Amino acid sequence: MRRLVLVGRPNAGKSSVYNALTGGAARVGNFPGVTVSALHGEVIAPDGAALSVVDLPGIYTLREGAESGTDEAIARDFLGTQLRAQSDVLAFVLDATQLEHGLRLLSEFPGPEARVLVLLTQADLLEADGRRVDTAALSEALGVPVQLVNSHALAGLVAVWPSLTAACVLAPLASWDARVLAARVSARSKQPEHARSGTARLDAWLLHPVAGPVAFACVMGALFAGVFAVADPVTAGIDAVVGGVRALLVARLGPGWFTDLLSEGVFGGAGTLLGFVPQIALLSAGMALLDASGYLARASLLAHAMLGRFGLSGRAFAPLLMGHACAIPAIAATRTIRDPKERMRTLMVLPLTTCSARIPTYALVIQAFFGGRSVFFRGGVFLALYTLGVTLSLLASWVLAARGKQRGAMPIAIEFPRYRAPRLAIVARTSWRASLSFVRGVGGMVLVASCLLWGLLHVRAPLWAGGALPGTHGSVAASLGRAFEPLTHLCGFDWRINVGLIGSFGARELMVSTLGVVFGASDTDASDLPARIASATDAHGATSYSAATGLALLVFFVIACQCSSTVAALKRETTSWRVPLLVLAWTYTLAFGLAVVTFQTARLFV
Amino acid sequence: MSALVALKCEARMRSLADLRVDEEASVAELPSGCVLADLGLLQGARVRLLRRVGRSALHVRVDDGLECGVSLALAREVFLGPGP
Repeated sequence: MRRLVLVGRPNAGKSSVYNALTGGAARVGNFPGVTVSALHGEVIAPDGAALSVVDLPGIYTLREGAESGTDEAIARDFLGTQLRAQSDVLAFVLDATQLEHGLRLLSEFPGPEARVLVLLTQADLLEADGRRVDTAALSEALGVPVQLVNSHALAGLVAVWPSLTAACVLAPLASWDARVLAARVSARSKQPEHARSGTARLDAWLLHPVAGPVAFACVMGALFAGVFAVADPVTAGIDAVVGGVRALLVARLGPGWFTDLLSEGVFGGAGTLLGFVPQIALLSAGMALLDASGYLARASLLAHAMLGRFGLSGRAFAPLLMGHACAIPAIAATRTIRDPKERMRTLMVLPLTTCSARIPTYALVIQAFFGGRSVFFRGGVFLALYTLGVTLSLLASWVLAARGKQRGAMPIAIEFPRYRAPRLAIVARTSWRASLSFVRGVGGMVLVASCLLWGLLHVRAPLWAGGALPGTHGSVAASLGRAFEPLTHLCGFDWRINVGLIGSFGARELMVSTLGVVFGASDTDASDLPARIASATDAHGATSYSAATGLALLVFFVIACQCSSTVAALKRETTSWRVPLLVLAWTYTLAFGLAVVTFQTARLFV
Repeated sequence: MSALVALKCEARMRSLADLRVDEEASVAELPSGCVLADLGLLQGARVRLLRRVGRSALHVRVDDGLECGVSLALAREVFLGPGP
């Protein structure tokens, strides 16, 4: 199939061109081994044949030397190994308001294997700036078609079809120089600075030494408050719908193991998965809004001061922020971190950020052990758990940086785009893709884990392992939980909590439903689960847990990498088992150690 | 003391605090510790200081209007040179 490959610098308007060309409705998929870095959409060209449009990640340079796994390396590798001279056309998408920088990237293209065309974007900003570009002169100098477009108003593939069909091999580099050519074809018809004045006024406040950090804190606070305020009722609605479907299923099929498997394993897992989609969608939309408005780049620089003390840079800010929704897209987002050591540190500490999958467990444990306390106390515990996750991730990064002899802040340069009103269609599309990617990436794992867990909870263990015990107590899962008791007893966990932790390794989301089964809560309404946990007794009739157990469990859950999808994503991203195994080893060791310390200390006071 | 050493000492004594808004510098080489992608953003450019961003970064304008935030570590090398 013929392909149109889009190449350009970040913020050049490449994504807008991609969306315009594919109509936004094209199939979006991943390249093998590249995952979300390069998008492709299939469209029907004006000549009636299919055309694949490929959107490579935004890059500043095509030179040799970019670290493996970064956007630069992915784009360079694609151009070096996957480009098909006969059937591919390369469209260099250049920001017309920063022509010299774009031409510098174009000059690095090794050519002349492929046919090339140039799309100059930001025509509206160019006009507002009082500038113009002589596209005919530029086309003549480069030897390829050059078309000026307003990417936000581009009328699909047909608008660039004449340029695409006329695409040809780039003129020899010796015949043109980026700086000289940019100066020759650019002209100004009115005073500069006018169009940027809005951006300059906003920057005066948003990058102000005092007002800037305050605005940053307010924006981040509003983002998280907004996400949870809107997502909670939607999630509750999804839970209610799935609960209704499960109840209907049980009523229609009647009791039996198959009904149980469908209701608890399949639909229970699906409900768990879908319950997190609102938060993922909203946080992705929030981040897309910040990104499209131009603020995210500024926020990254503002965060650089704090992150720099812990061996990270502002480039790690977006992945760490994203990690508060879900670690899977956050792990992919670390590709924008150009320094390989910093990227590795970020990957190692990302699982400590409090993803949304932990929240139901936090809520359950807080309700079970601190339900009688004031709302401020419970809110304080919640906040402390978030703070503990962030603090430990930063401390871990600091330790890793110190071990790697990284001193001081990493040097970074971040491009500041102009502030623009975000286009809601693009924000919605970004949010949709992130949600779809989450469901596709984690969905299979959650469903398999949910069904596997159902099997472990329903298949009886051998007699020597307690198989004669009644109900769930005699299951394989219970015998596994009992096997860990001598160790986990140190942090106050018995076999029932162990089973919950084993079940939630598949996906953190499964902790609540697993505990629901273990503690005999209703299949479709687990509202009495906190009370059942709080009043649980051991074989001698004594209360099994105290508040110290609850605190230890929360600490364990903050730190341990209880997510097989995160492990799989780390493996995929680093193409090795070394990092995921290291993450598992250090997070479980620290989680267990701190849970023991918490339990043993807390039991002296509570 | 040779002229070269004197120059380096002078550069070392000068700090980022002495930089003024609108001060300019040229980025000819890859500053130490800077990664390739950042070079693609700045190399060969004339950089003008627009404002400080807190205590950790500078807001600069590059050549044809592109604006960037640069960390102090990078700004130090851009405006004051690599030092002795």
